[in-house]
Amino acid sequence: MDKNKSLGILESCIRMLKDMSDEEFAKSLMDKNLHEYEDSYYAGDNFNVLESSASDTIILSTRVTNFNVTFGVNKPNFYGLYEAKGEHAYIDVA
Amino acid sequence: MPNIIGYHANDSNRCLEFVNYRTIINSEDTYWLGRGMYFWDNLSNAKYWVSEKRRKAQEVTDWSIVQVNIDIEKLLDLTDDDVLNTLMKLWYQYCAKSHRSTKAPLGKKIDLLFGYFNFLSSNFCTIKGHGKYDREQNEFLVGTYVVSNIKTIYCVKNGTNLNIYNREFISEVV
Repeated sequence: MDKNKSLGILESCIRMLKDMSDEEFAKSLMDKNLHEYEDSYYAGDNFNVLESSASDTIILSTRVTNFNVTFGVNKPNFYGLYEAKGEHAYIDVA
Repeated sequence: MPNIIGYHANDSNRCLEFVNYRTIINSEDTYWLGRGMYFWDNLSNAKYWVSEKRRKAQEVTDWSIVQVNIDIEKLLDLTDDDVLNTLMKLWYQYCAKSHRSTKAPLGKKIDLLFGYFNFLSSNFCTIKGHGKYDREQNEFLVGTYVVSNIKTIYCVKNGTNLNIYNREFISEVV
């Protein structure tokens, strides 16, 4: 693709955001059902997933210590593990 | 149409399904270019990837490599600084609008922007990037400005078959 066309596409997205009111933007996010991305918190790359199961509990470790992250009704601040791969962990924040 | 030859390595069954049944092999590579099917631009990089995977995922024993042509008419080229800087500007704008942190792995930023802007996902079917591998500099290049540990990779987004063609099963890596 022509480079100017690529830049034009990206810049038109930037303009679209600038022209949108906060209310319109919030509604568009809801419509696109992207909340699972929006609510996701990058927990860092020093995490290691030690155990993961179908239960509500995963066990993560850092270089310093091991700890449990429980998500569900008991800990409303953490309701889901977005992705656990290798040494990286993401936790959805309610 | 402009195209490149790409190489994808995976377990043999998946490779066969990809060639015979056009089953796209998507992965969620948050630290690369996000959700999509990944291709190296030369065979030796695909073989190197197999050696790394074999070391890490020892339960898989049969690895294969497939070769394809990828249409790059709709390419988002992250090896171009102007494109990269404009994408970064868009990301910052998006984060400011949604009151979220700008900190996120690259693949997640890309998937979020592609998820939000249909205009992006319809205009960019493939993303090109360079990856840096922790490999020793090739002896032949020592003392020069030419390096051997930067690898070009392509990510075909959206699970589309439309811009992947001429699929060939080219080797079984024993």
